[in-house]
Amino acid sequence: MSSFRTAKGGRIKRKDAISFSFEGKAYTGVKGDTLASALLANGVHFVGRSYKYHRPRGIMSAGQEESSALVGIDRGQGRYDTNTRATTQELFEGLKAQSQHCWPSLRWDIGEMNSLASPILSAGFYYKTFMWPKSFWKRVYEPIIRKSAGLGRAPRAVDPDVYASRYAHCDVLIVGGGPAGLAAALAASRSGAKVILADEQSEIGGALLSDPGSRIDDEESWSWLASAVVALAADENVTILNRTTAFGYYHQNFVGLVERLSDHLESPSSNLPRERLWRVRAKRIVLATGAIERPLVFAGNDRPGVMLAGAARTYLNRYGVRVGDKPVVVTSHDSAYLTAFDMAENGVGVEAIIDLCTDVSPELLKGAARLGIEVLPGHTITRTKGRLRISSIYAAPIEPDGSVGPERTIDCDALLMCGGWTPSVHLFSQSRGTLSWREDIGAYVPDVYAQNASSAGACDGHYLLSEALNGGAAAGQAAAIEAGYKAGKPNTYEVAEEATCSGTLIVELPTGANPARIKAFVDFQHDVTAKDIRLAVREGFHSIEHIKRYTTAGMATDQGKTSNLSELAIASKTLSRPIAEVGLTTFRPPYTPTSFGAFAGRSRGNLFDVTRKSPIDSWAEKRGAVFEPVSLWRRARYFPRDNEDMHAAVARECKATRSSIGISDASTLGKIEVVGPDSAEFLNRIYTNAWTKLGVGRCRYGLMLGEDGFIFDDGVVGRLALDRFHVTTTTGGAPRVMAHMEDYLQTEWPDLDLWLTSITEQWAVIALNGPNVRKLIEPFVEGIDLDKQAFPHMAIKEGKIYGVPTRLFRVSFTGELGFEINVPSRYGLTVWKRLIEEGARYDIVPYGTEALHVLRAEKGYIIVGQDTDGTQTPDDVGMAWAIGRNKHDFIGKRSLTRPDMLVSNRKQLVGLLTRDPKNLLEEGAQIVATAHPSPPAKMIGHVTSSYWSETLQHSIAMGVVEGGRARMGAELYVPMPDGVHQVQVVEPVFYDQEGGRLNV
Amino acid sequence: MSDELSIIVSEQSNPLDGAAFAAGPGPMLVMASAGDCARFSLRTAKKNLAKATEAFGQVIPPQIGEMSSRAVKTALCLGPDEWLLLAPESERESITARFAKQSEQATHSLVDVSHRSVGIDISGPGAALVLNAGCPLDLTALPVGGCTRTILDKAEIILMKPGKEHYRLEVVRSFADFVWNFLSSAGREFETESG
Amino acid sequence: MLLIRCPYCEQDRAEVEFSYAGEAHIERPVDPSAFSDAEWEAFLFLRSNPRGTHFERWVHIHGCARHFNAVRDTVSDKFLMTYKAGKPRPTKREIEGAKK
Ligand SMILES: [Zn+2]
Repeated sequence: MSSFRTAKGGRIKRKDAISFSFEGKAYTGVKGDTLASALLANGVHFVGRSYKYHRPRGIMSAGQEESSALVGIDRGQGRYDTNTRATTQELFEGLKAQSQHCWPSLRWDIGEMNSLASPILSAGFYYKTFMWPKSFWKRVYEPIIRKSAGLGRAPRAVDPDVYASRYAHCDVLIVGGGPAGLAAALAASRSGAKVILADEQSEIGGALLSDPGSRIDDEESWSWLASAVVALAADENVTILNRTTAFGYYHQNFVGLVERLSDHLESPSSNLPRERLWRVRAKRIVLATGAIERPLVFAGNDRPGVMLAGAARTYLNRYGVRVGDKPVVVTSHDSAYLTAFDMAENGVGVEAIIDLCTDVSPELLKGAARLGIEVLPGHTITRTKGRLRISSIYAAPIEPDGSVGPERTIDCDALLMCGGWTPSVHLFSQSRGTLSWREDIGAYVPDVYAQNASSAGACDGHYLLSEALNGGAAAGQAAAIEAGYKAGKPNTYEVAEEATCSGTLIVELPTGANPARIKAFVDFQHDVTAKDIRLAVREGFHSIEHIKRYTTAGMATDQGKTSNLSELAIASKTLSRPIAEVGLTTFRPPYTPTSFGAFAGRSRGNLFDVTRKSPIDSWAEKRGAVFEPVSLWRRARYFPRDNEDMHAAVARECKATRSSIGISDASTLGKIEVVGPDSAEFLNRIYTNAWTKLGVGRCRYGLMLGEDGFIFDDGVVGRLALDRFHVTTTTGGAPRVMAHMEDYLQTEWPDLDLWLTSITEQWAVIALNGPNVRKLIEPFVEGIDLDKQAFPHMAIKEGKIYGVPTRLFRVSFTGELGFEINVPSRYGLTVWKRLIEEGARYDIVPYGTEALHVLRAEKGYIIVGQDTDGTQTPDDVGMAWAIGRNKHDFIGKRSLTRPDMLVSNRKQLVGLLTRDPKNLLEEGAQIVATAHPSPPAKMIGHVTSSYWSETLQHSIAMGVVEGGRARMGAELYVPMPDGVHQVQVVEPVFYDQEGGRLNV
Repeated sequence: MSDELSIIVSEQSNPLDGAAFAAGPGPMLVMASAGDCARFSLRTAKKNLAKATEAFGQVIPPQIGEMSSRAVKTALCLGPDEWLLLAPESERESITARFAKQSEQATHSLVDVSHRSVGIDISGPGAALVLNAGCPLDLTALPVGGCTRTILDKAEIILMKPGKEHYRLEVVRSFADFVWNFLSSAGREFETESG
Repeated sequence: MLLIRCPYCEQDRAEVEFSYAGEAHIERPVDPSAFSDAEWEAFLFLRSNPRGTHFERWVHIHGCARHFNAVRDTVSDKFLMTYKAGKPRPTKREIEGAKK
C-alpha cells in the first residue's frame, strides 16, 4: 500500500498508529487524523456514491461542509450513525466505517445505471416521475428510492448513550476559534468579561491549523496559536468549547450549541454523555465563523480526486497527507496558489495551475516559476477523465470573445479547485440580520444586525490573516465594553509578508461542449447540475426559493454550504438579473445536522415526563395494583387478587364497598385553601352556587363554569371558619382551576381581600365508603363527634385520627356513608395501613379508580371531562339546582342566557339501559333515533360512561342526547361494531334514588 | 382515646427519605434530602410585615428574591405578597397561634404547608452546573442569600442560595422523585470530568 | 427562547417560567346582565389579533405567580415593554420610549 503521508509536519502524532476499517477493509492511520485524512493517507479517494446518479465520489473538503464523503459509523448496538462526514469524524482505534448510497457494494453499484438514465432524472424529477399511478408510490417507488438512494439506515436498537444539557450565561459568546475568534477572545477576556469560545473542530485554531507558514508578530503562527490557547485556558472567566457547533441563533442572543464529548473516543466512560446541548444566553456575540471555499462548476467536476484547493492544503499542512502526487490546480481565486506552493515545497510535482483569470499577479507567477509550476492564465477545464479516480483533465484557453480554444490533456491524480470563498453568514442570518452583496469579493456579507452581535474575519468578508486578527481583537474589545466592562485598546497584530488574495466570481467554467449535454455539478450531495438550474428557470421558476425546492439544490444534509452561491450565480445569469436582486435562500437552524439525542437530552425513560405518585402509592404498588395515568399522576385503577381480570376485580371492589367498607386513595384531588375576609364573596363569583350562608363545619358541592357558561370543574368545598375554606377540585383540573381563580382574583377583583394557597400535596386523602365506615373509624377519631346528627352528610371538622391532625369530611362519591380523611401527607401511608389493618374485621377492600367510576355512575354523579366535554351547561347535565338563584352574577352566568344555550334540543345528560342487561355499550359510541337509519344517519348524541354494575346485575350507561330529558322512556339505538343495540332512556340515577344510604 | 393509638413521628414517610448522592473528585457535588421542618405559606400586604415579623420571630424580607435566614428559621419572599416560612417542626404550633392572634389587626393568610414539599441540599463546585442542566437561571446572578421560584427541567422548584456553592431547593412531594432522578443523572457527569 | 421582563420581579426571566394568558385590556363588565347578546359575544370571543403591536397578558407562573401585561410586536416577536396588571394601556409615546 502506497503511503501518501508526508515525511514530517502536521499536527498529527505519527507514532500513535490507529487501526480502523472502511468498507470492511483494514487500514492504519495516526492519532490526530480524521477518517478522511487517514483514508487519503492510504491513497483512498473513492469513498461513496452520489445520491441520485450513484456516481463515484471522493472527498471534497476537509471540514463540516463536506457534501460527498458521507459514511456510516458503527459503534455497536444502537450506535450506528448515518451521514457522518468523513472529514469531521476523528479517528479512533477500531473505528468501523461504511460507505452509503451504494447497493449492493461501493464498487459495483446497481444505481450507477441512473447515470445512463440521467436525462429523465432532471430537475423536478421527484415531482414529475413518480406521479402515477398513485398506488405505486407506497409500494414501489418509495421502497426502491429509499433502498437505492441509501439515506443511511437508522439503528433499530435503543440508543444507549446519554445526552446532557446545560443552560449557560456569558458576557461574550464567540463562535469560531480561528484567528478572528481567538483574537476576540483574548481581547474580551482581558477586560474580565465572562467569555465562551466555541469551535466545531477537535482543536481550536481554525484556518491557522492549515497555515503553519504565516508569522504573527514575528512568531510562527502555530506557536502564537499555542500561547493564545494557553492564555485563554488559564483564564477562569473563559470557557473553551471545542468539538462544539453553534447550530442555531435565536431570539435575544440565545444560541444553541452541541458539544460532542465522546464520538472521538474508542471506549468512553458510561457516565460520559455523548453530546451536551448548551443553551447559551450571551450579552454580546462575536461571530467568527470563517468562510467556505466554493467549488467550480464544469463537466466531470465530481470525480474522486477532485477536491477543494484549501482542503488539499489542510490535508498537507495539518494532517501531513499529500492528496496526490501530480495534482492540477484550477482556480478563479489567488488563494489556490498557496496550496500549489505548499505542495510543491513538500516535493509534490504540481502539474499545472489553470487560472480562469488572465491577469495573474507577478508575485504569484514568480512564485510558481520558482517552484517549477506551469501556470495557464485565462484557461478553462472542459472535461475530466477517470472512473473511480480522476486521471486526466482537458484544459483549453478562453479566447477574448469568450469561446474556447483547442484542448490539451494533462494527466493528474488530483484536481484542486477554488471558486473563491463564501463567508459563513448562517448564524448571522438566523439572528435575522440582513445581508448585502459585495461585488468586489463576490459574496454576501453581514449588513444590518438585528441583535447584539458583530462579525470578524472571513465571515465578514475579510479574508486576510491580519484582518482576521485585528478585526477579531477590535470586535472582542467592543463586545466586552458593550457587556459593561472596561477594556483597553485591543492588540494590533502584524503578519509578515502577507500575500493579498483576490479573485473573480466565475462559477461555471467556459466550455466548447453543449452545456445541455454535460454534467457539471453544483450540489454534489443532491446531484444537482448547472443544467438542472437552467431548466428550472426555463420552466418558470424565477424565485430562488422556488428554484431551490424544484431542483432540491441546497436541500441535502449539507444545506448547500458549498453550492448556494453557485446555484445563485447560475440562476442570476439565466434570469439575466444581478445576484443582489435574485437574493438568497433562507438559512435555518441547525447549521449542521444535529442529533435527536441532543435535543431530547435527559428526557428519556423515567425522565421522559414526571410521574406524580401519591403518598399511598407505594402500598398500592406492593399490593399489585394496576395503575392508570390521570394527568401527570398515576392512580391505582384496580387491585386484582390472585388471577382476577379487571372485570372481576372491579365487581368485587364495588360489592365490598356497597356491603361493608371500601377504601380508596383520593390524595390526587386538587385542593386549595381560600383564606381571607372576602373568601365567601370570591367563591360566590367563581362558583354557580351560593356560599355566603354555608355554615362553618359544612360542605357543599360546587360547580364552576368558564365565562362561556360551560362546566369547567367541580368539587366539594368545606368551610373551616368564616374566613377559611377548603376547596377541592378534580385531579386533572387542579392546576387549571388554581390558575383560573388566581387570574380572576389578581386581574378582575384585586379589591377582594383573600388569598389562595395550593394544598393538594399538603394532605393525603383517604376515602372510606360503605355502611360500616363509621364503626371502623369512630374509636380512632378524637375531637369530632361522628354521630349522625352531630356530623351529618356534607360536614367537615378538624380533629385527630390516630393522634394525627385531620380534616375530616363527611362526603360521598359512591352514595354510601362516606368519609374523606385528610391527614398531612407524611402521615398518609401510616394512617392508610392502620385503616387496612383495623378494617380487616369488616373485610375492608381497597378499590381503584375503575370501581370508583362504577359506584359514582350507579348514582348518576358526573365526572367533569368524561360526561362533559366543555360544551355542557349545568342544565345540560341536570344540575340547574347548583345555580344560586339569588346571585346577581358569577363567572359564566351571562352566557347561560345566550340564545343557543336556551334551545330545547340541546344535548342533555340521561341514563341509558340496554334491553339485554348483559350488553355493555362502548363509551364514545354514537346514539341514533332509529335502528337502521339510512345514511347519513343523524347522530343525536353519544355514550359518555358505561359500566357493568355488579350491584344491579345490569349494565348501566350515561350519555348526552338531544332533548334527552323529554325522551324519558323512549327507545334509542347505539350502533356498535357487533350490531345495533337498543337502549331505553332513563333517569341517570340507577341506585338508591332516594339517597337513603347516604344519610345513615 | 388511649395514647397507644397515636402515630409516632417516626412513622412519617417522605419521597426522598435518606436520599444522598456524591460525585466527582473533591467531591464536586454532594446532594442530600433535607430534614423535615414546618413550612408556612404566608400571604399578606407588605404593610403588615412588621406584625408578621413579630409573629414569626424573625425578619420577613420585603423584596421578591430576598431571604432572611438566621439560626433555624428562614423566610423567603417569593412574590409581592407571598412568603414561604421555614421553621423547626417544634415551633409549628406556636407560630400558628401567634399569627392567629393578629388576624384582626393585620389581615393575612397563613397556611400550613409543612408536608407539601421536600427539601434538597446541593453543594460543591458542581452545584450550579448540575442545576443548570435544567434550570434556565443565571445562577451567578442569584446572590448568596437569594431565593426564587423557577423551573428545573419539567418541575417547578423554589431555589435558595444559602452559600456560594450551596443551594437548597424545595419541590412539591410528587415531583421530588423526578427532580432527584434528574439531578443525580446530571450529577453522574462529574464522575468523568473535572468540571 | 425569549427573555421576558417581569414587572414585579424586575428581572428578565426565561420564557419557560411564563404562561401566555390572552389579549390584555379586555375588562370584565361589572354587570354582565346589562350586556346585550351581541356585546357579550364581542366580550367573550372577539379579539384584535393585530399584525404589529399587541397588548397581551402574561403570568409569571413559575416565578412570582403574578399576572402582568406586555406590549409585543407580533412581527418581530419582540417585547416592547411589560407593566403591572391594572395599569392603563400605554400610549404610543410610552411604547416608543420603552423601545430605546
Ligand atoms: Zn415575576
